[in-house]
Amino acid sequence: MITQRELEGRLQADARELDRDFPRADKVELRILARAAVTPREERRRALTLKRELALAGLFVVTVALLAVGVGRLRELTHRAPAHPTPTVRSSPGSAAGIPFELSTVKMVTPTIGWARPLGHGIGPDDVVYTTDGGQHWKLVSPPASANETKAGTVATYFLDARHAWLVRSIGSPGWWAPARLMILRTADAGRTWTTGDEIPARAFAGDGFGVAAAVFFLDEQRGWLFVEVQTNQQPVTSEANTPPGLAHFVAGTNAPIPQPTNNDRGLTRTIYTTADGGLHWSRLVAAPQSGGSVLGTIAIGCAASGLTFASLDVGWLTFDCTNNQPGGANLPVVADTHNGGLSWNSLPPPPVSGANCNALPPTFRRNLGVLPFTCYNGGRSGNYFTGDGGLTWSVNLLPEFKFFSAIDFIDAKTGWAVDGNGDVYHTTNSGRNWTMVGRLAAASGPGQIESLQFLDSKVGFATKNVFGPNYYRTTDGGRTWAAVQAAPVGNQP
Amino acid sequence: MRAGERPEARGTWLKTDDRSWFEPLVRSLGRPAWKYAFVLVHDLDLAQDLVQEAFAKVWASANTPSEEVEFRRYLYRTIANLAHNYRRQQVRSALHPVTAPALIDPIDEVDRRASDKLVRAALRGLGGREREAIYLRYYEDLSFAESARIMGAPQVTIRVIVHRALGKLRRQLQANVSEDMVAIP
Repeated sequence: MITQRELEGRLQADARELDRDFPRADKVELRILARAAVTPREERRRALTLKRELALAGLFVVTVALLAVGVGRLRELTHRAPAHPTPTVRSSPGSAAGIPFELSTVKMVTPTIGWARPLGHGIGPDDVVYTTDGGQHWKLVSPPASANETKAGTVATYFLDARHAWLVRSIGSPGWWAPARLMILRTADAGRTWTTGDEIPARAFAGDGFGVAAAVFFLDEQRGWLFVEVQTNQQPVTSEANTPPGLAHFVAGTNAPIPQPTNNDRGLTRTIYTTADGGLHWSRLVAAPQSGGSVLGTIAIGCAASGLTFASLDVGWLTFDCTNNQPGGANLPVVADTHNGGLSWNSLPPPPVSGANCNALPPTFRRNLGVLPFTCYNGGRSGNYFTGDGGLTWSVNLLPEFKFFSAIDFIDAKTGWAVDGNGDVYHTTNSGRNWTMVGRLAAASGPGQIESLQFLDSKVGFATKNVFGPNYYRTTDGGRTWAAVQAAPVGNQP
Repeated sequence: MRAGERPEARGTWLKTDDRSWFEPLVRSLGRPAWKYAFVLVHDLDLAQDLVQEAFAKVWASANTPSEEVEFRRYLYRTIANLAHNYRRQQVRSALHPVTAPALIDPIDEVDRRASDKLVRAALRGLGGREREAIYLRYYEDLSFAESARIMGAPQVTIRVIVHRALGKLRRQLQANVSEDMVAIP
């Protein structure tokens, strides 16, 4: 059997062959330029009359003057604040107004208010949008752009409620996908202003650059956890066993001494950080090098973290997406849990789907009842873990063979919805033991698939599809009928 | 002035009549874009038409970003859309015909010289999105994050697409190996 490594080698060799043998493009370039020379560009605005130009110029001068006063006032205010961290005010993202976009990572916190990450031409890697009308209109609420945007981008987000959100921004070289450090930004006013927290040192993400190996979670406005996976020979690494209890061993962003790397430090390291002040300061809770052999350091190697979730200050879960199959992602455990606030981790048995690459989704809990969905490729099956004792023991519900859900969401430990590749919508009221088809999301047929599903209550739910253009749908009757949300382009923050 | 040195960041727009920014982008991206189109449609002439059409569209559009990285994403997505339209048999009539000089058919030439015809043949059996993802990942050596941004889909989706495409390629190549094998009595 041809191994994946061998196949990748052959593809890369073929790429070199293609590049070597492909014709020069001089004449093609000339034709393109010749065509451009006779092709008019679209006007972005109506031609300005002299009167309008003068009026706009006057308006511009007044606006600049007002902004100058405002900035001066703001500086006064910020200079009175502690030197670190520095509150920042977002710059106007007006340049992005009118851009067609798709939605990703949508999190509605009420039927009308929600956050999302936009995708599309001209959308930056750290842009965030916000809606107050159920997704009809979105406005950019991104933090101020980094000085060099090609070097920075958001790799993880957490949207807690209508006001609080956190972004984990990577800043790196050659690009944001290979960060040298992570910066945590927080808003407490729905994106109007963003505060910069500690920076956390990092090196290129593990997994050959093909995944975002970071996840962040907040239990409330103050208490949060951050999972970071780095491939390092410079990050300070302390084995799990040597990490002193009581934390505060290493505080990122302070003058605490950073251990010098040694040859033994090379390799993959996973680190859990925690904060008790809303993300301004972070303490390293535990660092687990792969070579240390701990569960945290060895579970689901080569997979991307799909979520970090805590049900209390003590009990939490790390979930992984192993559908990339690198390396050998089949039959891997994809869930780790902790019962001491993240200091140590245990693994759940892998989903019982032979030879499959599985993706575990963050769990949903209500009191001691919990459900943790998973979907498996190769084996083509979906299912969920469920617990009745707060996560101490778990059982598995497995769907019939060839029944595959592309998106699953639970509003509590018993009640959930799922969508399959045909767009059929299913509903369960017994923690996933039985599913009943309740409707059809017709838009799910055709190219792409429903990639996220979120229900707010027994009636109102939202879905996104991984296609170009409008990709957002809403139901108000528990999934029976769905309507596309005709979202307006990203606009300015008022 | 190189496009990457322009002061405008993403999301800003090019001046209507300023053509000075365009030529460096055509020079730097013309051949890679042609290769990308070629891998999507397997026809060099058609790929050339698609690339010219794509450049013309991004040139004409007032929304074209100026920064080179964003411009390339814009250009590549336009090419992918045109290729998708072509596959639906809707694009040929919309293309502006261009009189091209006679060329040696590079497909034949490339295939003749290629050391791994099986890989090339297997690539042709992939779906459009799969070819896009495989090309960006292995032929342009882009990260999944960057591929996701060009293709306008979440990273996890791109990883799934690549994963499935690799599986198809492996099965296809394995089948070819099996067909070539001769039983020895």
